[in-house]
Amino acid sequence: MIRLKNKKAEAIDLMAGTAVFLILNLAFFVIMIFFVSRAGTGADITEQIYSKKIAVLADSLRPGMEITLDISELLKIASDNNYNGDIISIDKADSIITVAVAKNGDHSYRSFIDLSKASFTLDKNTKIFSIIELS
Amino acid sequence: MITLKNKKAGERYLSIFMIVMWFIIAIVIVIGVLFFNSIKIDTRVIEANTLSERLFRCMQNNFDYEQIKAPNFSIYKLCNLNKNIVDGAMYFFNATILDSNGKTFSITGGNQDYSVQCGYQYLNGKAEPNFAQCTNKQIVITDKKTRQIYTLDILTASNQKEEFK
Repeated sequence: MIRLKNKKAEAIDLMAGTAVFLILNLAFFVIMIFFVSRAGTGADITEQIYSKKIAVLADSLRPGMEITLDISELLKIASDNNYNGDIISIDKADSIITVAVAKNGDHSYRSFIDLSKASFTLDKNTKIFSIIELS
Repeated sequence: MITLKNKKAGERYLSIFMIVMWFIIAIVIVIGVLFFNSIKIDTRVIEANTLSERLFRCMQNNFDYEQIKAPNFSIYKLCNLNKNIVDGAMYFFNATILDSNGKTFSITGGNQDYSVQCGYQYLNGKAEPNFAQCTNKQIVITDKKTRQIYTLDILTASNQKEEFK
C-alpha cells in the first residue's frame, strides 16, 4: 500500500510557487511595457531636434526673409501626449527658443541674433511655423 | 531501483536564475533606451559657419572702412546680433580687416579663450570634440566710398552644447 504524505501541503506549496512566478512575470511585463511606451514616443529627442533646428534657422535669417518649417510631426507627438500647452515658445529678450511636446520637461536652445527684431507665427491648421526677420 | 531526491528543490533553484536573467534583460533594455534618448545633436559647426556668413554679409554690404573704425561703431547693431548672447560664454568672433599697406584693424567679441582653442585645432589640423568648433574664412571687399580693396578675415567659434530646461 502506498502511503501519501503531505499531498495537500505539497499542492499548496506548488500553487504558491506558481502564483509567485506568475505575479513576477506580470510585474516584469507591465513595468517593461510602461517604460517602453513612455520612451517610445521620442518626445525628448524630437524636442531637442526641433529646438536646435529652429535656432539654426533663425541664425541664418536675413532682413526681410521668411523661413517656414513643417511642424506636423511636433503637433502629432503633442497630440499623442495629450499636451495642450505652447509647443514652441520664444523668449525674445534672451533669444531662447523652447520646444515642448509633453508635460514633463522641454528643450531650449539659444539663437545668436536679436530675436526682438523677428516675428514668429505658428499655424496649427496648416501645421507651419514661420519666422520673419524684420528689416 | 533508482531513488530520485530533491526534484522539487531543483525547480526552485532554476526559477531564481530565470528571474535574474529577466532582470538583466530589463536592465539592458532600459540602458539601451536611455542611451538612445541621451544622444546630443552637435550643431556647433553649423552655428560657427552661420555666424561667419552673417558677419561677412553684413560687413560686405556697403562696406565703409572709416565707419567701421569709428568709436561708436557697433557690429552687433549692424549685423543684428544679440550682444548678450554673442559676448557670453558660447561664441567668439574676430573680424580682421587688412588693407593694401599691411595695416590691420580688428573687431573681436565673445569668449576670448576660444581663439586659443581655434589656434590649437588649426595647428594640429583636426577638430577637438571638447573644444569650441571654429571656422575661418577670408574674402576681398571694396570700400564703397574710396574704392580701396581690403581683405576681410573672419574667425568664428561656437561652443553651445549645453541645453537647459
